[in-house]
Amino acid sequence: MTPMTRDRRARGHWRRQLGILALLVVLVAVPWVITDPYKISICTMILINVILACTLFPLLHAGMFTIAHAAFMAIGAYSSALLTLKAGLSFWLAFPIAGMVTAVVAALIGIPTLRTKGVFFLLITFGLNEVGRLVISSLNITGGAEGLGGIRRIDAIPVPGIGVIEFTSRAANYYFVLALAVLTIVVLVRLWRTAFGRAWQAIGQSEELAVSLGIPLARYKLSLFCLSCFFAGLTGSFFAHYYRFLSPADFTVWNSIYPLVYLQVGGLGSMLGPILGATILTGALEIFRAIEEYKPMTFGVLLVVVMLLAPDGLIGFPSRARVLWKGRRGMR
Amino acid sequence: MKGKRWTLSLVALLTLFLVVTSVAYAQTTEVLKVGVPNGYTGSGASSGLPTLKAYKIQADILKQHGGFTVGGKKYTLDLIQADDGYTAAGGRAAAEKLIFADKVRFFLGPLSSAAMMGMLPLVEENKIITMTNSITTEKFKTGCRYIFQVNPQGGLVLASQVMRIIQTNNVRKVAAFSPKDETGRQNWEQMKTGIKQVWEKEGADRVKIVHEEFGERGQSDYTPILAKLLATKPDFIILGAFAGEAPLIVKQSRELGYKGAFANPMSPDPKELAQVAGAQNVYEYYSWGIVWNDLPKIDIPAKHAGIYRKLTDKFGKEPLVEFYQRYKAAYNEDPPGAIVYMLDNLPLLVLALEQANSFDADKVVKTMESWDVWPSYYGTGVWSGDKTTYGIKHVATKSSPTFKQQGTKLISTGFVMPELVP
Amino acid sequence: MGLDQVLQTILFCLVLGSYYTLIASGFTLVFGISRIFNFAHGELYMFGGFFLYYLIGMWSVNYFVALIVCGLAVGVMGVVLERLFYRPVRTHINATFMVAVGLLLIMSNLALVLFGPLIKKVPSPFAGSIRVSPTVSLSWERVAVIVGCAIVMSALHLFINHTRQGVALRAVAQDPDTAALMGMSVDRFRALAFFAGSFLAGVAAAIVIPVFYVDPFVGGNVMLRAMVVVILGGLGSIPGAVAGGFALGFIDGLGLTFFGYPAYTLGWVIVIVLMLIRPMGLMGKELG
Repeated sequence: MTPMTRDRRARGHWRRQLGILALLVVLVAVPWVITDPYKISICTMILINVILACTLFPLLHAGMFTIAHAAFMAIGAYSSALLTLKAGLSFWLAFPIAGMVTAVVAALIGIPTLRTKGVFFLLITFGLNEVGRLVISSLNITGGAEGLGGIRRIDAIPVPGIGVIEFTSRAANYYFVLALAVLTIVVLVRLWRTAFGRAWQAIGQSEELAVSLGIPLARYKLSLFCLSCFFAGLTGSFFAHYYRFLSPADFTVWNSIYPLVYLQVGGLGSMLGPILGATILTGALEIFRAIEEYKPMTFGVLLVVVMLLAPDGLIGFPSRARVLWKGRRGMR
Repeated sequence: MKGKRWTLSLVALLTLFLVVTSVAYAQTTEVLKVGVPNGYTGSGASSGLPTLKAYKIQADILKQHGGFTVGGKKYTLDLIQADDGYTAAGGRAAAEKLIFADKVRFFLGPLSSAAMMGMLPLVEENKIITMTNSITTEKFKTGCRYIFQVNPQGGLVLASQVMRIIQTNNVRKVAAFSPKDETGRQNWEQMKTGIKQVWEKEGADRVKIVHEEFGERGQSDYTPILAKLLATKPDFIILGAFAGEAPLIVKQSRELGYKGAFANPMSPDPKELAQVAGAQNVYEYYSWGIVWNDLPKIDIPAKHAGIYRKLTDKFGKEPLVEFYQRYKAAYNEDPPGAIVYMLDNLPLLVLALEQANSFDADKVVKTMESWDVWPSYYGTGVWSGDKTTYGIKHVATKSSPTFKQQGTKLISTGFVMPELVP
Repeated sequence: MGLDQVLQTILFCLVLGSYYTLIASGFTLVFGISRIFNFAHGELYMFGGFFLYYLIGMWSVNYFVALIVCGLAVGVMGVVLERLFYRPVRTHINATFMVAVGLLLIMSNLALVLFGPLIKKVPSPFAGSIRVSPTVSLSWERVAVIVGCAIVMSALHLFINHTRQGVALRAVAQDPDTAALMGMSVDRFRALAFFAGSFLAGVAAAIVIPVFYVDPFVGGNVMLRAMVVVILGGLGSIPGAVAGGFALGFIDGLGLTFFGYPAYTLGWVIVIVLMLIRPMGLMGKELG
């Protein structure tokens, strides 16, 4: 590496750090700038979708195309709800426990199912999501098809030096999910840059190759799956205490498909992809409220158009556009 | 002399100007925004869209009759829709949009119990007067006083009708087939209680419930389940609130050889029923609703004439007829059967606002609660519910029209005043 | 449980099985040849149903003519979908999935806008029923479903195995690269596969919908069942679609009769277990 390249790389690195910092400042400032509670709710919803899309990022890279994420979110949501409702636990205890319960269930399910790949894995996860939904709507303890209500908010927590933080306002809930999003993304990006990340990518490229490189396939796939579902479970727990009412209709196959859509539209090139995809599409859905009856159709059109123009997602688009443009002018 | 004439004409002009502007001022109407959360996309659209159309007709009728007055100003209604997708998260999103983005303080709807529960915290916090048609008892568990359920539970109405059918048709064995959700389960519970009252009156060996079955909505083939149900040889099948699926269930039961009666508290469009089930299969089919081409005559006892006039002043001398004619003229089709349950939502809200002479939620609630009796499209109604599982006197009990369907023909079987089930 | 009820139940399972086989066969044919998971297959079926409704209801076309027209119309729709939407992204598996999802959303809601939300019933040309025994009867229109399925699947078998185009399709499915080397246009055959599969969807709709009904959202349920069938029978295998279709017909039919509503959960559990033990399904991956 020449000194010039090293400098350029270093500058790029610092520029990126600055960009992330600027983004964080903007995100933290949101409830101060936007006072309309409705818009803050939308931002909260965007963040939930961002987390879900980001947790799918490593899974897709490792070749695990799953349509069961909503079911794992449901496990986290119902666990947290029941722990606070029936067992009287504080949210701050139920939250991590819900995440761990989800991870344990993910492990139990992952052990037999992660042996399959590709379209078979897709179909199995589809079936699992359906089974999960049907089970939720049949059990009495989860409220059955009528749903589970009366879930209380995140409990107030005393923070040394600041006082007691209540979660009655939308802003407070927004900050909680923002913190969760930052935590999730930092953990996943950090892991991605380690040997684990490279191993997972190798698995995604070719499982045979990965095995020949000495990567313990089953263990790595399982641990990634559990990690991803752990965060999905945490998100579910927040979901339960934010919406305060759960019904099986909130955890259908469509709820699993949408985060995948956000991820794919955003692009799989970097973690920026799911963040971008989730933000843009959730925002688009809200803007489409104005044409309510045509909302699903418009969303479908948007999805198809984006996929035809940028099959690798939006973050890959600038370079693809450049290639297309160059190609048209006869340069190869 | 020219000067005097000038002054006179100037004064006359000024007076005219003042008169005209004050008349114009009295005529300028304000607009009150009212939210209509319901299912408008996906499979929910089949009820959400017609309901909105009906409210639009009612708003037009109101406007033609001069709107309503609050604080000296005249108002007409602006209906703002918001899709709740029949889910809890959707209900919350719809409510948030209406309350914060559209600045709405009054809701007509929702219909879905899940959506109602999802928006409950918002309704409570923001004091939104909600005229809902959802039937879940859960919505009152937190003691929220801003919600009014404007339809009696279909099951309650039908319980009374069922009792009558059991007695007149000499029914001995009853089977039930309900959708596996809150609506279905609660409807069936109400009807079961009605049947039990027949036992109390005439002895437990008089009528037996031989089979209870639950099924998922949206299926197209119920024959296996029905075969199982029909093996118990009932002579009366109660369909607990299957709407779109009811025609198929009727058809498939008849094809399996069932010759008894049906009752359904949430009937589909009668034409659709005859078309899908086959006219020859539709007989001894009981439900409650309006027979549009044979609108029942409303009889108002003299003591309630004044109260009923409050409705007719704003919605036409014969409100049902007026509504039907306008709807048909505007959309070139009959109103769908499901509208029957929603017709009182809008008028009740308007009357309460006018009587309270305020938009303050607590005052409006107090006004509505103060009514001993209120006018309805079917006569009169009262608030009830404090003696039942609802626990709060915000649930309508009003006379409901019932009918029997034979082929494509609807035969009115009179009004039923649901009895309160203890 | 009396013999009558056993007989009645078996008849229903046969009808269900025929229905499932019909809707799954087109889907599996498309996948077998083009490796494209056409999620919008159910929507094609739904459009077929609406075409039938308007052909018979509005223009009083003869039922059998309408059946062919439905097949052709839906077949053309399928070709359009392939050419415009699936071909450009055929190298990107994930993007293909997303396009399918988008198409599903577009088609079902387009139908909602065009045809309205209310369910539409198509009268069947076969009225009445046949009495198999004093207490067991089956309506002729349901018999038509069983017979229709048999006819369609036989025709499909003949096409795949005994016509030049059909054999060529199998070749492309088994080894696209060699086929391309031999001068066959993979693109054209993919379009042909979509036409055939969608034609099947349209015909299936024409046969089945008079028994039930159609509304803009029946596609979703159809897709759910079709997916289970191809899991059971093996993706891309026509005999698999038949085996899987009837297997599911019996699982659903018996399950609903004995257990009622929880039968659907049972169906999925069986399918998941099967996927774990034998992912290629009952009939493996080959076509034909």
